[in-house]
Amino acid sequence: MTGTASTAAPTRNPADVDPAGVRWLIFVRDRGIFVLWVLLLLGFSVWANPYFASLDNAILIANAASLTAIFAAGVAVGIICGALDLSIPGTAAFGSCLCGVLLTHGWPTWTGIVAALLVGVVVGLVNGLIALRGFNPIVVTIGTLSVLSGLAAVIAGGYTIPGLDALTFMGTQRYAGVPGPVWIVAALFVLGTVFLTRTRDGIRMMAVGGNREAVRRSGIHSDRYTVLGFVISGFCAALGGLVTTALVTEANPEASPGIIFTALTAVALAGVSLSGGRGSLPRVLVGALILATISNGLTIKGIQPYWGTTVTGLLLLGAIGLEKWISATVSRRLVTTAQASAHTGTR
Amino acid sequence: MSSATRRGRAVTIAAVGSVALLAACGSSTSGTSSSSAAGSSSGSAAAGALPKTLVFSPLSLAPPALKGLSEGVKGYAGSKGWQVLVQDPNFDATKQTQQLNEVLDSGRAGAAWVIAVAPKSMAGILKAAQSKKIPILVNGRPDEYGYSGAQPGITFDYIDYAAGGKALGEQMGTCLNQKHGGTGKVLFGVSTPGQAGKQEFEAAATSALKATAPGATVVQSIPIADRAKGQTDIGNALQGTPDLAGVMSSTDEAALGAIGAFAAGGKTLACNVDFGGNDEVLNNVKSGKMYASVALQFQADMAQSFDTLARMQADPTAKGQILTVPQKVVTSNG
Repeated sequence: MTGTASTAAPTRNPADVDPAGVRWLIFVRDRGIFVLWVLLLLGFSVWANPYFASLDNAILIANAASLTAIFAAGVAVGIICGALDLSIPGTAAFGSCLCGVLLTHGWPTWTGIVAALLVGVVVGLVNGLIALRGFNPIVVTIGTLSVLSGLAAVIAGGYTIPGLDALTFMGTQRYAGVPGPVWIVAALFVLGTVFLTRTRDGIRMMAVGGNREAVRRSGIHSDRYTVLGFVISGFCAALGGLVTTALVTEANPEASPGIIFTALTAVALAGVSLSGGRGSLPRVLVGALILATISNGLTIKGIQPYWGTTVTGLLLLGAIGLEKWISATVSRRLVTTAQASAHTGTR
Repeated sequence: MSSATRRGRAVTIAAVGSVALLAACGSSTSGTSSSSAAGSSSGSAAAGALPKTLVFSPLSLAPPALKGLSEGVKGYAGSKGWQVLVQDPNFDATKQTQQLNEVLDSGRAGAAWVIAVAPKSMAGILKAAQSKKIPILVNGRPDEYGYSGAQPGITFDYIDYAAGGKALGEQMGTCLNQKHGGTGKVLFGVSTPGQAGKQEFEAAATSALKATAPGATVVQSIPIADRAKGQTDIGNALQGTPDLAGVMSSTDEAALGAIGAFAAGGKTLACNVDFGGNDEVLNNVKSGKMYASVALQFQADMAQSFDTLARMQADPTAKGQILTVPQKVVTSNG
């Protein structure tokens, strides 16, 4: 190696740089949902002028997205680490009913909240430990869903538990003009994102979802991360149940399966890979916000809400179609580039 | 039957829970899904040799309202010396017919009360009950079960949605006339698609509103299935129509959601009326947060249904009746 070579500024071989088209496609795949949301906001701002583009309405949308976002966070974390948790509605119902029973029996509010959240953690732990025995997580969580739905009805005596006004501080009450659920979602997503992207455990958890065997062979105890995924999912489910209860000041023992479908829609819109290992909580949050934005905008315009459901479904189909096309196109182009590099010796 | 329809039926009787529970509280039943009245075992009726055992088959026991209804039936029938067998088909029409077939064949049933998951699937059950001379009451109109009128041994009990819708519209109109000069924008919280009686109820409500308060306008109809979503959707609608004067609702959930939405928006709702009348709604009417509720009288209906079945035991071959669930307009004045 000559001195000239050692002092020359490093230059990148053009062939080492991804083609602009590929970079653009990856941007659309990873950031497209943000662009879509901005477009929706702009579109509704013009169409539903002057009611849509206001601070009050922004808060309304954020508040409406809160519940979906909390449940979607649970679903997303489960999927990212390789396990779809279908027990979420049951955990939410049981947690909120337990809290309701405690509050109506004179226990302090914090006790009810902590008990409900502990329920979520324990349910997640149980789900995870059973799933580790080689059982299919979907079947395991369906079983848990059934158990928890029944238990919720048992402890509530089969009836709703009304008059839980002590929980309004995390439901309808506002802080600095912003409703409690929005603050809860903000805290949850900040903590969740930091955990998944900035901590060793979070990064390992995502890796377990991507390739469990590879993680295991690299000496990492993958089982504990699978259980951790279920625990986080259960915690989010219990938190969602509490916030729902706080919003309507009533605990309902009926586990609504609609929770899972709405949350899954937000997660799928966010491009979280259903095979695990890939996903981002901020995108999931935007997925929930998109659902709330569509519903809000159409309602303000007086459009029949059925169109909201239709539009959401079309968006979802479009999103997964686009994701598939982009992934295939990117792979094809990169392979072509690599082959060209190999034959020409430029790479 | 679609799940929406099933849920619709459940929601329709959502007001029953605590009312029926009151009836149950006065009974000596054990509270299990199958209970015995004190002093009654199989209790064969002397005349027709039919046991005093009522088979109660609702859509499911999962919804609190239906659980409440089953408790109410057990309490009321138990107080009359009857045993009640409660079944839980869990919204499964096949399971419901199987369970009913088994109990009708067993000879234990002295009468049956069925809230059918799929009325059309009940044809075999109704014929079997007729042939075994076991009186049966089904919820719904005769045409839903393929009949044109009353049938031997079968009583039909249904909610008169047209009458309910008319009362709802009239109450909203009356409220607007009293509080808003007979004009104003109204949001209609409707039931979700596929629910029984939806079309006739909504048509009757809007035409009655127009007749009572011609200056009122229904600016938006929003299907509302649960309270939390109702609160969100009505909040959104309020954003687009800040001068809403009234909300009239097909369900209690929508009315309660409207109260939450207006409170969250820092606004006052001049006229809030609904169809249903659960305890929470009636408390809101009493306190003045709501103008009126067209309340379904499920306790009275439960009593008339059971009493009709008990009477039919005397002559199970006689034509049954066509009953309607009583309705009562409740305002803050009573």
